[in-house]
Amino acid sequence: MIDIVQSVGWGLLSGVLTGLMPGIGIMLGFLLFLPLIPLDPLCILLYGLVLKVGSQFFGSMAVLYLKIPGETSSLPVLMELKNLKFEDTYRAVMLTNFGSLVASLFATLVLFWFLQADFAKGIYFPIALKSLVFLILILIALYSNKNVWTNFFILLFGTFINFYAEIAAEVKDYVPFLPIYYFNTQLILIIIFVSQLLWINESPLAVASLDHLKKESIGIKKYLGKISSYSIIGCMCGLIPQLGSTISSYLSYSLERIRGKSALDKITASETANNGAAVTGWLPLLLFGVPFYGSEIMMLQHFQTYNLDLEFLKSEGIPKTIMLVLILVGILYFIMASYINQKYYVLLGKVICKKWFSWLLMLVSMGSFYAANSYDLKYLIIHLAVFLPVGYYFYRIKTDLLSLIIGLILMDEIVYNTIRVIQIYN
Amino acid sequence: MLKTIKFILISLLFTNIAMADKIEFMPTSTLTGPQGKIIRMVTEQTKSSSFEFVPSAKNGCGEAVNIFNTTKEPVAIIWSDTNIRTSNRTKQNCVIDFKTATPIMVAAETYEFCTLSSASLSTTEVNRFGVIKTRPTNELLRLMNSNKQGYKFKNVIYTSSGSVLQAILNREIDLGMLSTGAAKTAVKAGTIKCLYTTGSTQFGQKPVSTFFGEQSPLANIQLGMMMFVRNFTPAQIKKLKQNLDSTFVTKLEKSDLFGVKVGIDQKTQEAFIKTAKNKAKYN
Repeated sequence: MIDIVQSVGWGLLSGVLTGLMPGIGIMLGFLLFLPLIPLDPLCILLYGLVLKVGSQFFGSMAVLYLKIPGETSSLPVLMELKNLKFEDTYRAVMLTNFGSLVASLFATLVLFWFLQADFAKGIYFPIALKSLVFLILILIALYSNKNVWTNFFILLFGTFINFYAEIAAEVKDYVPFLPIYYFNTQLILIIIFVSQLLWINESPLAVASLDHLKKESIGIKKYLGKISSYSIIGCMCGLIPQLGSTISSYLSYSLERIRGKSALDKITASETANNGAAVTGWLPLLLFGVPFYGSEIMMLQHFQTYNLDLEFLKSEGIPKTIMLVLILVGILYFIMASYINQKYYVLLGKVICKKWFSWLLMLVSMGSFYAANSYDLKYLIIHLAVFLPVGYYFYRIKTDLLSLIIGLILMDEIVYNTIRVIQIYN
Repeated sequence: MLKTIKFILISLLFTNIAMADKIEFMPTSTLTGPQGKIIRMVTEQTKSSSFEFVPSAKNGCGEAVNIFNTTKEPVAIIWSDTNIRTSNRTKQNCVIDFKTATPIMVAAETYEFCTLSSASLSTTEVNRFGVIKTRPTNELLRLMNSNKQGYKFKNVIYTSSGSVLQAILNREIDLGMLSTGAAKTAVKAGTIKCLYTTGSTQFGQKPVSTFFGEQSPLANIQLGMMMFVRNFTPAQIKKLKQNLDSTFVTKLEKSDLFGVKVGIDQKTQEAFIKTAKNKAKYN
């Protein structure tokens, strides 16, 4: 029980940071406190789920209060902010919060239903389809921005390290170059991802006071139908590899735009849908063990490292525990996002942009990794010496690090999966 | 004052946790598998006594064995009966110096041969046999195909027992060889059934030797693990063995480890090394 509370607590903190801070994406957010999570599959899963729900809740807050998109699915809101009347800002905050809550709860029930349903136990994910998902993930990583070749080389770099680590761990005499030591992929990711924060130079943002708008009627009743339908759309979009939340957000925004609706409608729709996607996106992993998102790839790798599997989901009471935690967390996030005074956002906005805060995060994640793994200080220093400059280089070229995740973590599984497809169908 | 601070900082830089009057306890693989399980449980069990083991993973079995064989400090290691095979395969020296090492305890991980609950093996088509890459996959396949029931198999290679289990559930394979611990939850949930075993009988399985058509040392393939210490005084060894009492043995058995025994005689040690040498013959 204490382990669960601890994991949910770290998930809440990471969710808030991921949502509010532009430099912290979901993948980095997942890595931040991962070494502090007890080595129990339920705890790790809850940490990931709570973090992802939080990132969507607080992503909306970041863009509405601070005018910075905490995560990519908040970009439609940023585009629409210029059309939003200032008097409607408080309503937008409350409606997006309410929409996020409804979508999260709805998606949680969907998730619970699938985890419990008998027919779901009979569904399986053919290995060939798994290969197709991997191919889609590689293509998304390569075409995530215009720098296809850069992404390709980063993918190759990650792949090299991935296989180097495997060879070096077993056959150190055969490793032809680089010092003979053991690369730890989780440590590499922590260094490269968390170090991205060290180079960001963003100044604190001014937040206009919304206190005088609090008397305005929010009109939730009027929006109930819209919120419900976009919750369903979001849940369905969650099943799109890697882009579920972002696509659901853009799709809902576009649908409202086509219908000629107001800025408030568009913002509510887009910020509702992405929360549904954030939860149902876990279904392929939890039902079939196939990761659709970068953070899920990381979680699966963590599971493999520590010999854990997803079989615990079949134990009695586990789906119910997950559902209860997600409902509780949804309500908690709603309260935090709606009723805590905006001064909190002002303060947080100032703190998260400070250099010392980034250093502190780096210290916490590396220190906890070092302590949790009884890691050798010598290896830690070598990793820092090699991968801190690499992290800086990645920051300078402004690249999407999904290619790195796939190369570094998933590529061995992709290769072995391909070999297995040949072994099975040959 | 400045000198003192400098001294403290430099000392901190060059000091690791293992040097603080503590006993380094190394696996020859990783701290995350069954070796790590034993290390964690021994560390936990002896926590309240004067021993303070510090689990410490090294860069492969070669480095761990090198430290174990050469250090002048008290040290502990888990040496598995696959280490001679690993030595041959990787050209590292993964074999400890048995003359100076003292065996403390032994335990083993057993394997299950399982299928989906609703499935059965085919006699008309080639069955897909999922096996972990670190096992002697070729020899196992040969033995599987020596059965007298007329089943034919082909190998599909996986990286861990967890992925073999997932493959059974995803219908990628018809039969999978996985550790008893990994199979346990799925068997209890009724999603898979285990037909044969290399040791455990908790699910009513038959010994896999009854399936193979010929006698083979691999019929009882288990991952045997033995804990050794070096540079311990006789008094320390005695105290350590006393600490690893019957409650400790029960704890290990509840964690799906088999054949747990504390206090190893010369004969048991020699049999263990012989098994390791036998395993090295297969690929």
